Amino acid sequence: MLAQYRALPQSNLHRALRRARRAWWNSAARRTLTVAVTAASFAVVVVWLWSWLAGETGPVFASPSVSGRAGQAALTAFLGAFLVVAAWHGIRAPSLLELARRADHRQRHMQALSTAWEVIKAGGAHTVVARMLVSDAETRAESLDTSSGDNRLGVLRSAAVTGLALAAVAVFVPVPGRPTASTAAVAAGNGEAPLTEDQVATLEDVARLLDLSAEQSGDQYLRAIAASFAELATEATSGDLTRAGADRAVRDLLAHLGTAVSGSGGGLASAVEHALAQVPATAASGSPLAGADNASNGQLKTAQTEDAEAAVETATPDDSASLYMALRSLVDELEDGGGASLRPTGPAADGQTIDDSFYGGVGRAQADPNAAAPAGPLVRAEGAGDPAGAAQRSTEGAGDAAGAGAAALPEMFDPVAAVQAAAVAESLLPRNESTEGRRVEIEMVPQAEERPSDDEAPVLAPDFVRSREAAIVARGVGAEHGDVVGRYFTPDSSSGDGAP
Amino acid sequence: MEDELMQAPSLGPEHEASRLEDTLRRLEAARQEVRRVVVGQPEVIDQAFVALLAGGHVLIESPPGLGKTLLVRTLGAVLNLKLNRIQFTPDLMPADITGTYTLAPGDAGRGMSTVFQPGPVFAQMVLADEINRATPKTQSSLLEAMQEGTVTVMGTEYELPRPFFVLATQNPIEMEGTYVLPEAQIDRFFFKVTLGFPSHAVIQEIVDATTGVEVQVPEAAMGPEDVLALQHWTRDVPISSEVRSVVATYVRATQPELLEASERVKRYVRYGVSPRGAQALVLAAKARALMDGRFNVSFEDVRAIAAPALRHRIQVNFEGEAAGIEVDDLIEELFEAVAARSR
Repeated sequence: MLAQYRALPQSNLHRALRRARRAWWNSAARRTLTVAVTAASFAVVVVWLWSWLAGETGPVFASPSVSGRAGQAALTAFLGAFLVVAAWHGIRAPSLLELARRADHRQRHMQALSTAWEVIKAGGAHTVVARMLVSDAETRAESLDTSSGDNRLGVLRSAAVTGLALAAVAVFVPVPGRPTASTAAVAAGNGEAPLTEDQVATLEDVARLLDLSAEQSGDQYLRAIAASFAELATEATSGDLTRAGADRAVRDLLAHLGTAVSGSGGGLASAVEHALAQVPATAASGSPLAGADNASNGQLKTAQTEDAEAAVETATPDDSASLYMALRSLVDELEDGGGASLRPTGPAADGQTIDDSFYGGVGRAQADPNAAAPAGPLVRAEGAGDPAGAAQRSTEGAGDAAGAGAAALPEMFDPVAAVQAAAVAESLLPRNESTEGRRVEIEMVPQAEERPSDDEAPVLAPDFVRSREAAIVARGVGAEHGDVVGRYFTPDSSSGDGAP
Repeated sequence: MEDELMQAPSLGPEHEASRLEDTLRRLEAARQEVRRVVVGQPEVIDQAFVALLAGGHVLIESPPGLGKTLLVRTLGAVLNLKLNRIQFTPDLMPADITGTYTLAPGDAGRGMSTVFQPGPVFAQMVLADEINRATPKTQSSLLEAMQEGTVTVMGTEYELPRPFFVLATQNPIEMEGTYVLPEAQIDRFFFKVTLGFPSHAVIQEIVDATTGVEVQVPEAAMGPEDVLALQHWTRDVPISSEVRSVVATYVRATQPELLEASERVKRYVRYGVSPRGAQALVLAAKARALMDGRFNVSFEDVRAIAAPALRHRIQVNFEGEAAGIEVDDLIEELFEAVAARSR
């Protein structure tokens, strides 16, 4: 064909078609480069997305591994696309006749150019009509538009610009963290990620230990709090609860827990107070914890709740983490204490030392309905709403105490309010009866090693002081009279058998 | 005939080009002259000129009174061709067309000798009016003359004058007592031209031009030599391989038994275009291009003459007739499909 071209005169048509072919190759080169750049750009974007899915964070080019991967992918995509498109163009490169046909169609030459070119290729115009045709084609070729007329290049340019923009974004925008196991702790602080498994386990442990303590003490309020902790753990596990909601609930439950154990003494109380001391000030200042002891009526509830919500909204990730660290310390303390309870082990509320054996092992939860209400517990009952126990100990305002306590509870803790209402109803019953018709009595049989040795000095009965006697929340008979008590108060003993 | 047509005018290249341009100018003048006399049928006039340049013959189908005879007479007058008219009747014999031997006084007045008396077919332009009223035998005699350009009488072959151009007419609505032309014979007509009913304005123009005192007399604009030269140059018009390929594809697409046929062709067409139809298509396209002053065949040329060149070469089957399939619509639809496929 080259020899044939050389044999042909350098006519206008021939030159025009060669110009058209150069224009087509230029257009093909631009298309090839555009496609290659587009592929490389999208390769960078793909690497960015892949890094995000893999849980990697930070700028793409900050990490040597990620930047190397991105550069390698971009280079591979560029070279691959370049070679493929270039090969495709090489295969589909048009001949001069095809270019003449395209010019005929595009510029409406009515097949004059392609026919004339075929006549020239066939050896020239030998007839007058063919010569007239070639002459006409030469005239048309002088003003022939040899541009490629490639409309696809505009689309490819748009794709390339889009790809470059996305690649630039991928390069300059750091890869955000993904909520995987390794990044959960970081993401947990923003209030959107769910609780971690450790935190849920902490909630479950708190619920379990509080339930155990409530079982031992028979405190329904504490039992309700334990149930709320268990429910909170369940909701956090199922994912129905956001991080912020969980934090808010934990703070509220801690507030109630502080209220439940306040003034009761014992290992549980000390553990709770120790845990509350670890709660961050931000949370504590705005939570019901701060105002629980100082509130005198339920009217402060609204302001406190709003403060608590505001505190939760402004809580930092460190505050949230500290909250669960406090819970964990509570769990550790309770577990180390071997099962703390509401039972006082140290000085009583009024400072009087009461030995366990002094009451003959009989439970101290039995309140003396005839005793005058001590000043301390009564005040706490009014202010903090110490529910069941305080109500039973109080000679007045049992309903107030329960009401105040209920008023301090957020609406989301309806089970607690229900327990408090039940406690109020129970307080209205005759003594030694509960809503279930049973006696409220716990019998603790002292262990043999707890008995005082014969070497020790005998415990003398303290002098009777009316005020002290009234302050005692439980009565009992000394351990030395245990056999007598057992004889008269065991279910098997008959009423007239040796009764005093 | 083709050998004669293939002989190039023995002139130099410069002079030949000049003569070509002059002839094309006279052709354009002839077209305008015919249009001046025959009112309101420009497409039919152009198709008649195309068939003349291509060396073909035309079958004109129209009801009576639409100017068929006027068209033929005007063409003959403008082209300065010898015109004969043959009114076909059932009792018309072949010898009435081709001519016969008669007894004539011998040389020097002694004895009698047979002399060939040429029939009306011996003319440069023949108007075969109502060709379907003659018997097939008579029709065949004319068709042989059209095809071969010669007449054989009593074993002697007589060549018809050049150019030889036949325009046959037939009435499509009055079929009683007629002999329908077989498809094989219809295929020998280069074009089948249908005259549509003129519009309101054209009828007024016809009435004005033909009912006054002044009669439109056509003037000669060309001669037989010009027609022969144009017929030669028509065959010289180049056609690109692209257009040629489209024509071949098109012809095959009209055959219902071939894969290239469309669903409508397979369903409604009994038989399609023969290779003779492809020849007619290309030759007519060349003539049209030359008549328009162009020297190559374009897709537009093929498309413009596809209907008159092919409509009598495609036979619609019974189902197609029942469905009211128009062959012209089928031709246009096929051409669109083939052209789109080729590009």
